[in-house]
Amino acid sequence: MSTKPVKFDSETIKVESSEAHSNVLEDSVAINDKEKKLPSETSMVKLKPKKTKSKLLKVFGWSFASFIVTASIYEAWQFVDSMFEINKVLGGAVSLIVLVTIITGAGALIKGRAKGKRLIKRNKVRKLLAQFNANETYGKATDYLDDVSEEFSSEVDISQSLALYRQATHKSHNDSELIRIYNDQVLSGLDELAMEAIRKHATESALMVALSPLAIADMALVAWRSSRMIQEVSRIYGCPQTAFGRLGLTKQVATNLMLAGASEFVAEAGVELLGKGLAATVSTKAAQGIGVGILVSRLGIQTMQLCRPIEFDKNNKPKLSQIRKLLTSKILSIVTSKKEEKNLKQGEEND
Amino acid sequence: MSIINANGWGVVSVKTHIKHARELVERGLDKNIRVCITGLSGSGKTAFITSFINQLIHQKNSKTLPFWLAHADSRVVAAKLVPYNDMHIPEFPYSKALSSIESGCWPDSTSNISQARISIKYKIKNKWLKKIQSYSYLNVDIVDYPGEWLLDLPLLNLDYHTWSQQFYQWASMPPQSEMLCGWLERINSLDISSTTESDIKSLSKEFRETLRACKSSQKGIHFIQPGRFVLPGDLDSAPVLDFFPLLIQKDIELNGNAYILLEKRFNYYKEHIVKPFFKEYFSKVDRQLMLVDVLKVLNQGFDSYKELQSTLSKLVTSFNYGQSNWLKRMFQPQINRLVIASSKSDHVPPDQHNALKVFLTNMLRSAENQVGYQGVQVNNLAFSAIRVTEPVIADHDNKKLNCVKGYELGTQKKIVNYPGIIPTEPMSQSQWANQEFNFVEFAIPELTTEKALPHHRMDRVIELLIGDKFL
Repeated sequence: MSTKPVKFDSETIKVESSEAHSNVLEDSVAINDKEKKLPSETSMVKLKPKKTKSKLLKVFGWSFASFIVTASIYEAWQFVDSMFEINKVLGGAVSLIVLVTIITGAGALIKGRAKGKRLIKRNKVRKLLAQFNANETYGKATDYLDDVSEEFSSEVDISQSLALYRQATHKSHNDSELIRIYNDQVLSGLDELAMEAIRKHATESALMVALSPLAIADMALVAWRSSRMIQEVSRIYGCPQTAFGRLGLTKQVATNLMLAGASEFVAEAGVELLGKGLAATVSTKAAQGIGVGILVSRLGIQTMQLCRPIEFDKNNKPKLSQIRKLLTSKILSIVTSKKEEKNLKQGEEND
Repeated sequence: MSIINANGWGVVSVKTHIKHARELVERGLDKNIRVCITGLSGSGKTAFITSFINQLIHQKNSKTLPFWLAHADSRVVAAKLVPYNDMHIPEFPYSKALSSIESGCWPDSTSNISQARISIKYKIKNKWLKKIQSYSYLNVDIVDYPGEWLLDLPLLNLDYHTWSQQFYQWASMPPQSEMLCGWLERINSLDISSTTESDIKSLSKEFRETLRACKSSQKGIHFIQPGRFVLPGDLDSAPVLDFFPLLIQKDIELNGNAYILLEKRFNYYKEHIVKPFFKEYFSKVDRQLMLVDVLKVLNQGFDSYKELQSTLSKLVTSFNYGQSNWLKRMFQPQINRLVIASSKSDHVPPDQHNALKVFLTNMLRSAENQVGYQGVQVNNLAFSAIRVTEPVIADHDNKKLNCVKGYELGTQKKIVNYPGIIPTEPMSQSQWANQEFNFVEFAIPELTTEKALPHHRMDRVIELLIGDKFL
């Protein structure tokens, strides 16, 4: 970009609104305004994902997979062939079934992949936006934010909050400001919606576990409920996951929970255990219920973090404590009312 | 009679005591907050205060204040201008300034002191305070005064001799040396032992005129001391202004000398003009906003930059009790937040706002450091109180340039301006010489004052100055 100042007459020069072409511009501001941090600070260093296994293992994986695939194709071919030998009609029917299976399977896989891409894209967008936010660039974030808004509006009606966002922003706002306004005006509403869903599912699963008579059924219940919740939360953030994709998301959520969750867990554990202890005096089953409810809500909050295009900051990070209180009071009220009923019945019998 | 009188006085004094006590309590509860706007003349103090009052008054329907958090939470109920207690200070001419803006002129530069108080009613958020009362109010006092007078502040801890030394050292440096060489010749040829009082009077007049010429020159001379010499206010032609800096050898017999008279007048000026002014208006200040016109300096070049840098550093540190600690001893001020802001950010293409901010930070780094060391929270910002331009993109030499579009001040022609790139790293003198800038002054376009004035980042300024008081 030239450094010489130029002054034009407004009549002679053709200009456009600066929003349209926002990202063609080179940015003149280097990364220098960030407050200096010690490099040892945790936010500056990150553990890289572990390098995948040794080369030998990799080759083994590929060869094994291709062996299985070839073998199954060969088997299937032989199977269809033998069916044809028995009867032409039977053979035709079987090959039709195989064809339908292949087509629908491939279709589902591709579709799931496309939707799953949204989540991957969201991840990239989140990293980019965090970068823009930190460097206070100008004119780069608008396109990404618009993209994200479009993805949101395919699942949730955000027209009103989007209108508020448009009113609050001006062409002269920098990216960091735009991102903050977007966070406050648009995302906070989605957060509330997601938290509502998490609360609902957490209490549901807590109640189910507290009331279910069969210990083995608990596991299935939790898996089912949390899977439903992850689906719902991801839908709220405009990246709904199909069965295949959900598996991937669940895996990510679980990994995150293990990696990032440790410190949070330590912070919350004391209080959680206290809550549990209180419940445990009433009933073991109720305590288990609360524990499961908290686990489910932690899963939900992790899902929110994975689906949000903008990272949570200190002020808007959802807190477990509220859900915990809700869970404890709900479960306790049910359990104690049950006990009271029992006592009452006993009292009546005694009479 | 005397008893009744005594009783009458007693009642009055009890009443005033109660009033004082209540004020003290309210101060303690932070219901009153005094915001001090510092800035040299032409840095946009009046425009800022006008816009500040305007944004607060029109907050109800305003959608453009997302960074004022209390407002974003819809906790601000109402705000209005209210009468204040210091009845001897003239009221800030808000409506006059507003009508001037409506007619397309920037408000006149301030020639005397004035004050405004805005009372803001808000909903309490704090979960403990909420139990006692659900609504509270915050009174914001804001004072407008000529920026020229501000430069008298560093005078307070100088005596006549050191001031004279400082002055002639300053006078020998560019860009002011050129303007002052006539005066320097005059003073060097002066024989102090034979100077009469009428000589002093005429010399002082000449001195004041020289300073005024410095002020009105376009060379970017900022540190013009004493301030009342350029803008006397109600002191015009009072004998207290009849002095000038003078350096003499120590071994000269001073008795009956004109030097004594000059020193006496200097001390009188310091004690009876400067000190009461700052004691009256700048004690009890809680928050300080310092406005800096960075663009003018960029236009004017290296010498002007250095001059402004030293001027502002002197100002900032004297307000915030740097090493000397003298102001603290005198007035016990309690400034706990300082916002150093570059006004007129709308004159700069938006992609360079950050550069503008960084430039300002670089310029005042050492001063900020000193203030920060005192435990004062220092923030930098680029904002504009009244936005008069629109950002646009122009095609120039097959490149897309981020420009601003508006009416040029003076010619009233609609122009699109690309001012050059603001450096984000401190520059050497030769780099300064190679750099070219052309920041154009813009006029106010047609706008209505029925709704909030268009602004840029006023919400952030409001949040930084008073945001934490909305409990």
